[in-house]
Amino acid sequence: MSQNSNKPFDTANDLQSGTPEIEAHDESKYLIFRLGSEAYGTPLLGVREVLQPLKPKPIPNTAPHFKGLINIRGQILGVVDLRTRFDYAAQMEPSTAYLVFETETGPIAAIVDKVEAVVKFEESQVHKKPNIRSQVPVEFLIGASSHQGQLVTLIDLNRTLSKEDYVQIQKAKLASTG
Amino acid sequence: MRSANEKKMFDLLLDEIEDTLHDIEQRCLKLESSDQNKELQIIFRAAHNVKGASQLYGLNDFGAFVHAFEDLLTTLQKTASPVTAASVDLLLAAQSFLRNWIQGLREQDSFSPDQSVMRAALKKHIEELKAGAGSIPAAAPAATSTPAASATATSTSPTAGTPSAVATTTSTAAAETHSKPAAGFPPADIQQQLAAAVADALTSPAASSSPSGKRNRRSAANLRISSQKIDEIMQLIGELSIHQGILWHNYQQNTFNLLTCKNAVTLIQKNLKDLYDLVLTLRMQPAEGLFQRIERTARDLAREQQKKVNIQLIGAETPLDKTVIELITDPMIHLVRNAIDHGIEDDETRLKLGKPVPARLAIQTHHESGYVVISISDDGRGLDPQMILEKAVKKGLVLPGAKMKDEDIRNLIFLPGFSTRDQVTHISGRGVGMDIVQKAIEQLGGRIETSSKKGQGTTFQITLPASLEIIEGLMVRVSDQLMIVPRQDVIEIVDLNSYEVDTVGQGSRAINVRGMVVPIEDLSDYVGFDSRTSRTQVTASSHADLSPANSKSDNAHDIALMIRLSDRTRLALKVDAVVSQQQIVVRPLADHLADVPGFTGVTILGNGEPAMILSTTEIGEKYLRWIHRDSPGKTERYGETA
Repeated sequence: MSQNSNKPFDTANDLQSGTPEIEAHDESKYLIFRLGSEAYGTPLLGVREVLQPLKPKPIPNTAPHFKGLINIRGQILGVVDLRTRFDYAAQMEPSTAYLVFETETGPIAAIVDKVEAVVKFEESQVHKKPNIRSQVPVEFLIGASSHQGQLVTLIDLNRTLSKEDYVQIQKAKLASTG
Repeated sequence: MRSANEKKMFDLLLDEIEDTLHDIEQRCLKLESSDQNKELQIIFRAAHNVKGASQLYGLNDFGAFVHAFEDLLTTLQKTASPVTAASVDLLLAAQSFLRNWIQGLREQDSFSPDQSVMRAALKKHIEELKAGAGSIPAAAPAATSTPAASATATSTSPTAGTPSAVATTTSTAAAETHSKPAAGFPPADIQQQLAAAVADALTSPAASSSPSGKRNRRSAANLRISSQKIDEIMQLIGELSIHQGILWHNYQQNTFNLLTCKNAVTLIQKNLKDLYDLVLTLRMQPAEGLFQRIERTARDLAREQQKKVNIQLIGAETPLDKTVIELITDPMIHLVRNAIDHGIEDDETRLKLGKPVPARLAIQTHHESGYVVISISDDGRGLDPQMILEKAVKKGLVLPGAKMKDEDIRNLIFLPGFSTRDQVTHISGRGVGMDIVQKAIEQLGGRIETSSKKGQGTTFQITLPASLEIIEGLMVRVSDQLMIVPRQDVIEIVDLNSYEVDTVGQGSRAINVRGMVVPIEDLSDYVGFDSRTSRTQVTASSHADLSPANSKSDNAHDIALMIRLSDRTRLALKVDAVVSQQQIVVRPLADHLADVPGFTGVTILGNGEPAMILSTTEIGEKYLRWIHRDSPGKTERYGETA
């Protein structure tokens, strides 16, 4: 099984190695990204790709941190600003990226400040139920670990967003009264 | 542990068995009305195949059950007397059991429910059949169908409630079983056990928790397509290659002849369009599959309620878009249940009233110039406007003393909050009201209408756009954003400048169009953004404005789209501009966006930008609710004479 690439889904490599399942289903790999000054990690399995930021098309009657829609190779994705969603400041930096991940209802692009690395955390390295204060609500935390001396809060992005995060009826005329 | 390859083969096996079970169900439903020997033979062969396939994969328990099923079939074949409804009930119950078993296997490949109760029932029935056909009346009106069967029919819907909810339904249904089963059919306590057994098969391992994900959504992911269409597609692709080859050759030889290139590109365009159209039709499936689901549900329910119902299905060959079928199934099942549960009276009552027994339930579908019309009609008791009005007043949905037309009263049933738990029986839904049905239909871009005569029956008519995929769209600018309004929803594009705008009531505006008073609403009040940029700022638009000739650029804001509010009333939606008209591909909204008010889909514009597609039905609904918000029973509406 050749390992001469850092990319998580390097199809060419996988095909050559002949055992694609083992690589793809490695549940201990996490993608580390930043929100503000905090480092977060999310299971790599749920991550589809990382993109350069695009200009989303805004949609009326959606929540403030739902920035709109983008078109990626013919597929329409919603864009959520994770920074404002979890109360961080939101600025566009050169390192700002769109993290596309799968949720139960389809893929979503999340705006994060920086995508840092793919790191493998063994079970032993992950502290479950950490007593840390995080801006991400406790229910979504998988645990915590550390990477290069910094605390990494592990969350499962796929579960952190719910329907209420998207729709917000701001116009009185749309509230369906009986 | 199975390898990935084995898992794939296993899934394919389950798909195949499911398809065969579907066919078996169809044949069982036919048993009561056609050449029984032939049908029994076909069913037997199908079951035999299923048994063989399952045993090949080591599903021995499953195979053993199918074997018992085969035994019943053989006994029926050998019995001289015709197959009774009671036997069909049992066959269908067994089929449901097997179907749920397959569902369970999708989640856990070692799933094996307790088959003892079902086997006992099968065995008992076989013995009775062998003992003497004389003890089983030919058409057993008093026989109750296995309540479990009707409950399980619902569970196969991909969007069904959790199995635990259905299981509750099943047990209450069993408790309600009338205590006069026909001779030869399992008595009440066995009924309950049967119900529990099938419910057991439903409560597969991952039941109560999260949706088991991808494996269960098979029907959503796979399509059956005709190989002829594949051939046609290959042919078109071949032609595309040829034209592309010509261009490439030109390029290589540096002999770019403009005319040749133009021809080649034009032909490529044509091929692409043909290819596109062809692939779109792949999504069309005959309504037959949908009909079968509904027929089964209706039959089981009628049997359970001991009502004799003749179910007519017309238009089974009508092709429907796959997504339409998926999304319309639940609403239709709900309507059918309403018809049988609430609409159709029981046999005794009907006879007293001089109404024919069996009752009639007709489900019809046909195409009509860009639309698909589906109607469900029964000859039951019909909708009683008086009762509906009383109920609506009691629920505070309408002011007492409100005077309303019958048609409007009937539409009250679509208001949320109209049917509540005390009214809705366990059969007709778990508190799911007609408002959910209407919403589901609106999400498909359609509408639902009722017509009914008290004492004679009710018809629900659902009108849907024929294809979800491509529609003619009007690109409009609202609050400086481009969005699409389906062309077929717009009755007329109105230049407000050429009409006298009257002010009606408190600040509402209206125009008089050929005698009809049409209120004007700003579309941006529904789907616009609050921060308006200055009027002269124009966003990304290289399209020429199609605003009517006599309006000047600074009057570009006086265009309105006239849409239909109801049969006789209209609404004019004011937009910033109408930019163009073009064909657009409709993509459904992702689940998390499905509730965004005012929209029914999204598309990608020529410049690659996504654009929302407006739901004019929804806007109309919201408008009506808005103007009636303080006085829900008010009848003063534009366009109606006093």
